[in-house]
Amino acid sequence: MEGAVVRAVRAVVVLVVGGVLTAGLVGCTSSAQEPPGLTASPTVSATPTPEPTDDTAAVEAAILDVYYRYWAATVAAQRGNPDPTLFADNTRGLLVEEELATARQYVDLGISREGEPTISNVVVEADDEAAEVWACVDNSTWVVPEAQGELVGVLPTGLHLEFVDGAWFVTDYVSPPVDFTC
Amino acid sequence: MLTGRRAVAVVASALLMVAVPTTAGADVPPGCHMGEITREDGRVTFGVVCPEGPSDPTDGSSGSTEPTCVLTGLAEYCIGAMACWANVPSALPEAEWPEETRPSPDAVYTFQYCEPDPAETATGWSWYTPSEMTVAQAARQAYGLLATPAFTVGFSPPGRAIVGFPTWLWAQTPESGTITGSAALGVVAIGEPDGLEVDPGDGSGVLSCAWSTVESGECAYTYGRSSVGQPVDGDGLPAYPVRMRLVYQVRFEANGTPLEVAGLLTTLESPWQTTPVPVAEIQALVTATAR
Repeated sequence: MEGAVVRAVRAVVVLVVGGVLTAGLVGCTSSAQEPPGLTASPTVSATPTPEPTDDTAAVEAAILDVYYRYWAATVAAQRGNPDPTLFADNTRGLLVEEELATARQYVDLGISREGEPTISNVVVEADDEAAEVWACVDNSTWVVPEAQGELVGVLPTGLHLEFVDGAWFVTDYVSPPVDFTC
Repeated sequence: MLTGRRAVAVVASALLMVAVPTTAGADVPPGCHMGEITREDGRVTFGVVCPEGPSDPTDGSSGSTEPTCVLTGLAEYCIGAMACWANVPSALPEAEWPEETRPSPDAVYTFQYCEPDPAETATGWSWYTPSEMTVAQAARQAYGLLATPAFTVGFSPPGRAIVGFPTWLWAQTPESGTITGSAALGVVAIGEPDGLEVDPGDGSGVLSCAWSTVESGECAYTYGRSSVGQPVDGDGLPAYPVRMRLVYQVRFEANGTPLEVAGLLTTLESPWQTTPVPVAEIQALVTATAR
């Protein structure tokens, strides 16, 4: 993403977890803190990390909740369901338009992306107003059956979130830091 | 892909969306295949991949034969050098549309994205009002709704025509009258029976005949040669392939008032119908002799 810059953060939270986006998340609107399949406890990051407080733990949980709802919405949309309401509680701005256009184009082309991505090594950085979530996203479990060419594997993937009107929303893709590898 | 969080600009060229081509029902062209088309920031999208690239350059909305942009990813059309796509309507819930700026009740809130967009004037949300149907468009639509009746070719003498003796030809149809097609704005296309066009099948060309839907001599043709040597009909007799079509004069009315629109067709022809007509040559005609 051009021009994507990690914002200066006042309170940095680093969380490393591993998990698989499950189909059961599609359409989930609950305030579940973590999706099924995720390990409950963060593992230790190589980055020096301040002790999480109750507040920061709540923030990261809220961010991850939205993060996984975004993925669930994207999976549902790209499986032949170009419905913008899938993104209503998790995504804002141009990204919703892009997700809708992508889903519509897939329907037009007869493409249905099957399965779901496997997400691991999730890292969250956040301040009061914005956050970034970096993760290793395994696309080999989320495929277009008719697609030819090399199977897409694990890719470092970043999402930017903003705190708007009292809630977190995914707003854009960002490049993870160069030292974030999968 | 979206590049950063752009300031939303008013889309100055919303009307261009009228010409947005779609890929609905697109088939994969020969030599192309489904595959990965973009990968950025870990995001992968799929589409039709062709040897020369994901999509051919197009002339977009310019009307020029020269390509003005290269269409990749989501882009569907060109505005100059900009490759653009649009959501009509946008992904925004209707409840969030800015009603205070809505230009008309029919307007739809849309989103357009173009790249490159250095002036940031093409990308953003805007109102788009679908063009209202004009009377001329309604008239064209009404014309297209005119349906000519099914018919078969009738001829007499029945079974076999005779060289040198007039063969009567007519259209056999129970629907022999006026036909109409109705469209929006009260526009009606009215087709009045005007005549028949008949090709006797002997190489003499197409004849124009009076309208005739019953057995009569209104439309007659006299063959000069027998049909020997022609393809045989269902009875095994050599026959000329006689073609016929119905011809209508078309006029238009709008709410009962005559409507004149330049450029509209004023005639309508049905599809051709063909029937084999055997033609025999009789050496002598026997006539009654008065005592």
